[in-house]
Amino acid sequence: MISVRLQRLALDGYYLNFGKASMGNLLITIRGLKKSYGKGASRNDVLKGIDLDINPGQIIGYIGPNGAGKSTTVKILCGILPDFEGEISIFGKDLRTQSLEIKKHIGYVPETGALYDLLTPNEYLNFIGALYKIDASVLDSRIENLLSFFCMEKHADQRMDTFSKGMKQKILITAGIINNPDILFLDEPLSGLDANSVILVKELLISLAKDGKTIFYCSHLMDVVEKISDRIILINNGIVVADGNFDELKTEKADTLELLFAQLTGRHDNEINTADLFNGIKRN
Amino acid sequence: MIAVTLFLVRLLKKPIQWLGGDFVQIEILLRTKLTLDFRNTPSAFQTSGRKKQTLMTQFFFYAVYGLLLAAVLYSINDLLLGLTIFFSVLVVLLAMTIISEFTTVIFDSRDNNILLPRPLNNRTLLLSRLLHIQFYMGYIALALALFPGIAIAIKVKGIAVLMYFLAVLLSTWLTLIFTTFIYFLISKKVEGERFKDIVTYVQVIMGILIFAGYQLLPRIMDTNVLNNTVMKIHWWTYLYPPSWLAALVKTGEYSGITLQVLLLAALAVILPISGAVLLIRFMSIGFENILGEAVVESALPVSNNGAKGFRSTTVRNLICVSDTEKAGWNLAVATTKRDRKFKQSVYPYFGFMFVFAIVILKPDLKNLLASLQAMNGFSKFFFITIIGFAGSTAVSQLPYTDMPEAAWIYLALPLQEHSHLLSGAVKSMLVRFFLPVYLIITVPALWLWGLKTLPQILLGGFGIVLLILIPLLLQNMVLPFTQIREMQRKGMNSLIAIFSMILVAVLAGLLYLSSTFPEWITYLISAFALGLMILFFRMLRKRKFVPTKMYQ
Repeated sequence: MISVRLQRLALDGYYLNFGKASMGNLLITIRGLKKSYGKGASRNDVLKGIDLDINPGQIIGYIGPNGAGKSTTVKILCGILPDFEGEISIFGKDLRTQSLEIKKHIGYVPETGALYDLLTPNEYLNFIGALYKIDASVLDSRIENLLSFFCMEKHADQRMDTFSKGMKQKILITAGIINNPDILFLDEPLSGLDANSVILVKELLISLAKDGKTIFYCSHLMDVVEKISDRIILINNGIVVADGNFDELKTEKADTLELLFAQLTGRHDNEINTADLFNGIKRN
Repeated sequence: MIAVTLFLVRLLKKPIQWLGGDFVQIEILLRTKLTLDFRNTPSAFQTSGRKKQTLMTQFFFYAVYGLLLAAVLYSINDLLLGLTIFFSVLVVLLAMTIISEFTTVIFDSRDNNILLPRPLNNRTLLLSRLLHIQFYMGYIALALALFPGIAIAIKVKGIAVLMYFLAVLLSTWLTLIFTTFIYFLISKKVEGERFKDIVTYVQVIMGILIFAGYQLLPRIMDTNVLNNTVMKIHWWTYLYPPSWLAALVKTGEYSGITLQVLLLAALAVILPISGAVLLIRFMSIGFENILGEAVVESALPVSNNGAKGFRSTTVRNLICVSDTEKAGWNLAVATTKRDRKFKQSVYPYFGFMFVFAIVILKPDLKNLLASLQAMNGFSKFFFITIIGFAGSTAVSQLPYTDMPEAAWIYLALPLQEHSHLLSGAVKSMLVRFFLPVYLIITVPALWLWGLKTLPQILLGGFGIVLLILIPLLLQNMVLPFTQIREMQRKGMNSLIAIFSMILVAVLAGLLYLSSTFPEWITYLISAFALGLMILFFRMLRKRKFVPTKMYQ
């Protein structure tokens, strides 16, 4: 059933004829990316020098503990944080000077449910589409197809402030791909989604990648990352600590991504901590 | 209303494109923003839900205020002089409202995640925000200008009245781009993150400067011959924007148009345009950076001042009656310390009130001390109470937050005395924003006017607190930090500030009256006021909290 729906999207011309020609060329290059907040004593270095080369048509799982700098990286890449150190080029264009051109061809699905929830999905998606100057008839059919892909067509004209987190997430994902982007950045795209929707989004991401699109996503769901990523980048304390596909990364001791994650980011003493915590709660 | 605005914006298509804005994007941004503004929010304890009505109420009160201006305008024979005075008042009021209430809209970073990843350039982003503010400011300006406009229509022939309304709209735009220009000038010198902190202080300083400039005017108005004076145009008249606008209206009269008037009128048209070009075409670079930096302000560790915290805790424990009240106090103190938008709404009023006081009292600057000492009874009490009253803004800003959805906690907790949270928060605001200022002005007041004013100062202090508490008892109860800062409500503070002047004047009058009685009577009334204050706090705590609409 999913494949039928995906086909319908493809028939819409949605993700055909894109990306494949540029296969093999570097899509994103990041050199010496640093970012810090604050000054003096309160200075907080979030990214301490990230170097990455990303090829088109891949699904990249960008993982790391809370506060490692995942969201910061993504926000820099899609132009929300224009102030950073280092060099970034996307589509061979400099992010600092040609961000407008780059933004036309990227999509972003934010972590927090950032949307104008007093609008209806139709209104919101039309608003976003208009900012990209998508032709009205094209936009209409895209919205219709994407909403029906997510089984949201019957909610198309309801205000989103009554929506559940998962429903909002579906609209955020739709808004993220409304401009048919070549690169899609997603920050925790599966949060709040029900099991069926998770399958739906996974399939969508895989088929987008098959069509030459690049998916760059942050997640804490290790099993999902393990299954669908072509490449896994693990950051900790603002630097890359592991980079490769799962087969390359796994060791004899750590044969799941979860174990690997725990090993590399120093969170293997969880059991002791939980015991302390419970004693603490009981005492009070 | 939205349709009319969008129609007007469509007329401005060419100028917008010429300024470097993307017209299609600006149109959709404005349409969406205004649609959002006028949709009612079903939040936990929404008390409003009648947004158009809020705007109409504001319109009504601004129009009433405009009626006073119309009377002044009508009584002055020289059109140029009358209009110059009118536009001075208008520009000062608009500047005050923009600085204190709309600054946050220019630098709003709440929708960064929605807008910044889209292909919008700096000019489009800035222009859409300015036009959004212009919508509300134009509305306020037209309300103020309605009755004076009728006066013009009766008094002056020709197309003067059309020129007048054009000048009113130009005055809002001029004021808006001038204030934004100052902010951008500073943003070039100061880096993004620190800039946000500095804006608050800039607001205070700008408020004071604008008022100080305004001080020139009442001095002219002082003369009784004003009604029959003809305004002379000096070299400095060309530096004074209200006189440009006045001259523009004058050109609609057809008669008495000199080259000087034409020059001034030309400035009224040229400056808003060239200012917009300068601001939007050349200064908007880096606007994204300012917005982007704001996303992460919460990432900074919070420094706690230990010693100050101790004092505050002692006071808190002394005047809070329950643990819930203490919790309300703590929440309010911690939040207001860090919430920039709160500071930006509250701090400028201290500057405004101070200069307001000076403008109204007009002390002789050459002989300041003597003139202050010689001040008559009413004036000195007015001076004291008006400055003391500035702290009331802190209380009136308590309900507002950017995160109204966090209010679920009030519903989820097993809490019976919701009203204690409010009373605790109000107490903390009074201690933080009213008490220190009032104590500080008490010292020079006692030094200038002697110990005999002490009873009045005491009574004045209680009186101000009562004036702050009464509205809280009359309105629906709104818990701290549960209401979104709505666009329609902006402009309300300036309005309240104007009208609370009347209340403050009444209070000052009562103080003056009490100074004619023996001292012990004043002390007695003070004791009574203190009792009333305690009673009011008790009534506030007794109020039942009714969430009007549940969270969905």
